[in-house]
Amino acid sequence: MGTSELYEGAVWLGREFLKFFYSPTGVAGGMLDAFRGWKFSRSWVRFWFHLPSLVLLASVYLTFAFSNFGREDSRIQLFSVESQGRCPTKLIEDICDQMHEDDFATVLGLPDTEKIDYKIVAISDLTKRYVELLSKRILSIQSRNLVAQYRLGLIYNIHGKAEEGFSKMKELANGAFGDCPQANAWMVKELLRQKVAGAEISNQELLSNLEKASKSRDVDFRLVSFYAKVLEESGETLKAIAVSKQAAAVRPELNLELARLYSRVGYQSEMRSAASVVEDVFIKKLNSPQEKETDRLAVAEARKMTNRLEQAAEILTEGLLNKSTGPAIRRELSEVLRLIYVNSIAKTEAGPYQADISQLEKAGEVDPLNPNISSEIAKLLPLKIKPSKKLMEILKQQIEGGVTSVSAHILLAEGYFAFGNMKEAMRNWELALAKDPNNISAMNNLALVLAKTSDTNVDRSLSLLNKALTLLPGNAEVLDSLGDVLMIANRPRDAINKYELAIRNDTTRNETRKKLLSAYERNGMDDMAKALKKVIENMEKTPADEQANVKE
Amino acid sequence: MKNTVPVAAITLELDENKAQSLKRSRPHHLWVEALSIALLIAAAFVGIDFWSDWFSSIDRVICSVCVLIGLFVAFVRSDWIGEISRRRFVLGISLFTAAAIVIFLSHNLGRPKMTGIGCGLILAGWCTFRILGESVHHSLSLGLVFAIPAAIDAIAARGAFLWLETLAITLTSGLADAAEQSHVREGNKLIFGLGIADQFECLGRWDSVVSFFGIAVFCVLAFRRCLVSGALTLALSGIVWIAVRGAAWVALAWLGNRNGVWYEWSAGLEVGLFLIALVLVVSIDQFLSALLEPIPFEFINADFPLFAYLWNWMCRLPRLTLSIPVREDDFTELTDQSQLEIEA
Repeated sequence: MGTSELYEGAVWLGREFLKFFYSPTGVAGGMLDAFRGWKFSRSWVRFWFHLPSLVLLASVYLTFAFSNFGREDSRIQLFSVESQGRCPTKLIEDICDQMHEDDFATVLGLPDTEKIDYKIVAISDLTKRYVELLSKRILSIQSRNLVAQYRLGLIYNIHGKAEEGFSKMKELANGAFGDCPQANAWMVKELLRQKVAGAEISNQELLSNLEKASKSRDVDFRLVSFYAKVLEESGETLKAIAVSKQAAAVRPELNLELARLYSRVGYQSEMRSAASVVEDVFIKKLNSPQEKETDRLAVAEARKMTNRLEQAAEILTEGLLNKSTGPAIRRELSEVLRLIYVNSIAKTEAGPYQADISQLEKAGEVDPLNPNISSEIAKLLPLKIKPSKKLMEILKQQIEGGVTSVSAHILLAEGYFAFGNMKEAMRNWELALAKDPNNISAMNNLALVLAKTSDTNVDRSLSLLNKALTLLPGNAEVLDSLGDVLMIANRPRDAINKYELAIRNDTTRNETRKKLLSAYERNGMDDMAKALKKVIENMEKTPADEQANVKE
Repeated sequence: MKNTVPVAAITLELDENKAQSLKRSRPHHLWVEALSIALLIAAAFVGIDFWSDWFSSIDRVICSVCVLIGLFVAFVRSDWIGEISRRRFVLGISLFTAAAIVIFLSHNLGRPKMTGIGCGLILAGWCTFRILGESVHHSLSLGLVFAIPAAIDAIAARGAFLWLETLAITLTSGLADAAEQSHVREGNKLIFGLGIADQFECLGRWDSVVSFFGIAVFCVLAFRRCLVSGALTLALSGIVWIAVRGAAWVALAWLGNRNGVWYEWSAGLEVGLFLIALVLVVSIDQFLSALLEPIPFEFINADFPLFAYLWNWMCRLPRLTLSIPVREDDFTELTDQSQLEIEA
């Protein structure tokens, strides 16, 4: 193409463009003709035949384009409704609580009967995945959505993603997305679970979570009670009362905890008013289809706290008549009857003691396995009161059933010892040791009696006492017993050593000094015996003698 | 549309063409074949790693098959008869020389991908010597077809597929939104909710786009596209590919949600989608080419021919051979009809 051709071409192009201004009708005509030519040259069969493919493709892209018009808040709402519909938050919370229940009950010291059964409906893995996905979807649109964050944390925990769940809940509990007391409540339970499992946890973290969780009305009320207890144990009684009061204001049932707290602290009038609220609240629930065992127990406890034991027994007896089930009610009734018996104990002129033993018998009848009854029976023996046949049967039954407490066995042993029944005494100390191998009192007494009964038992006695000394080093009583056993074993030098140690550790032990004196004499240490005798005489002087000496 | 031109006239025209073509020489130089084969063998040996890698993927094999079919159609439709000019001879020799240099460099530099370009140059050289009835541009464009594998690998290495993947994920995510199908997008990964294969990743499966480009090249070769409509066809294959996969994902998610079962992204599904897309790409390509037909000369208004000229320049009609219907017949028919109307 030459230069002139290019020039001509450029000129032509310029002229054509100018036509837009000076001959618009010509331009329109030209374009119309071109359109007609285009239309003429089309293959319409081809056009219509292939059009559906284009429509199909266009529909995909148009759908995509329209998706951009969806409002974010409406999407969030849509996903939230869908997610809640598939799996409500309460259900996931219950599953988490159920997972924590055993450990939480262990921490609170609750028996199995008082554990909450959340009656969980099983959720399929598919639903869990879906709920997790919906939460993530909401978060992809609104990253600080508190509910979605919380649900995601919960779902991680029930879907085997414990680490992710813990970090998410920790984030929530720290207030990264706003206040979330439910997350704090979860953290408390999780921290307690870790503690039960033997892990070290931060008490500060636990307390801070407890404080935040206790501010909500929706969290597990037992947490609030637990918080109050923790505060009480750490000496913050007033704060504990405030927390309990706050919780009780929200849930009247929590007045029971408040009353217990007042009772422990010794605020009698406040305790009475709280107990009265408890009675009012729980008595309404009695004899209704919704009645729970704990309702009746709460009324009984309120009455027990205000020393209305007869009325407490009455309400529990009514419960037993209505529903013969409920070991907790049986135990409580047995306890109330035992307390009635304890209250009936009084010193009289006729005898050393007088008590309504029939109440204790009744308590044993209601719950023969109540270990406190055997303790009460055991207390009779040192007082040289022989229990009734019925009580002896209950005691026998409890010993055979293995429900008697260590203290009951010790009391029984002491009782039998007082009655001179060494065989039974030793048996009970042995039983006490079987239940509590580190019980010093049982070890000490058993060792002494064993050594006194037969020389052949001396070795066992010595081993028992040495073990007691390793558990309680320098205990004067044990050292004294050890000295006694060594004297029986004819080892007075060793015995002297132990007696001297016992006196050094407890200078008031005059009986030990006397034993030491006889040991000195037996060992031919007359100078020492003389000096010690003087000390004993000085110590045995009465205050009146001392005053007389002073006057002189 | 009825063809009113007498059949005898066409036969006569064909006969004339045939007679003319017979007059022209159809040189056949054995050395061209020998040289081409030798160079191709050399290229195959030097680039063995590249080619074995290329044919190890089913996507690339499908792409190659499509391209070869397109090439075959283009060969059939080409005019092979003509005379070899000095210019054409020099170009052919230059192409062979360039191919030899590229293969040599490929061997020395240890870059087997370059043999793909070498193969393109060999084919272009061969076409220059053999397809004499067509222009040298035609030969060059056909030859470059052999360079497609190298070009695809080069653009894949430069992250073009990753960019396409992002586009596809965006579209799929949008489609899922419109279909109220819950999902989460984490980077270039989509996770669907209930009932669908737990997650779909484009990574690893993405090379199926290569097959789709194969379809596009087939269309370009078989229907002899010019630059504009050819580029349009290439873009179209990408657009269809994205749409088909996106729609399939969302449809599967919806089905899984409804039936509560897990669906996995399988090779069978991939093949099925490829076949659907094949129909769609060819069909839409035909639709677009139907729109891009040039304006007949008779309709170009002398008052303002610019628009028609520009249009015709944009969708230039390739030089047609006997295998494609000739447009002039239609004008004859129109003229005849107009004359009949005037006479009436």
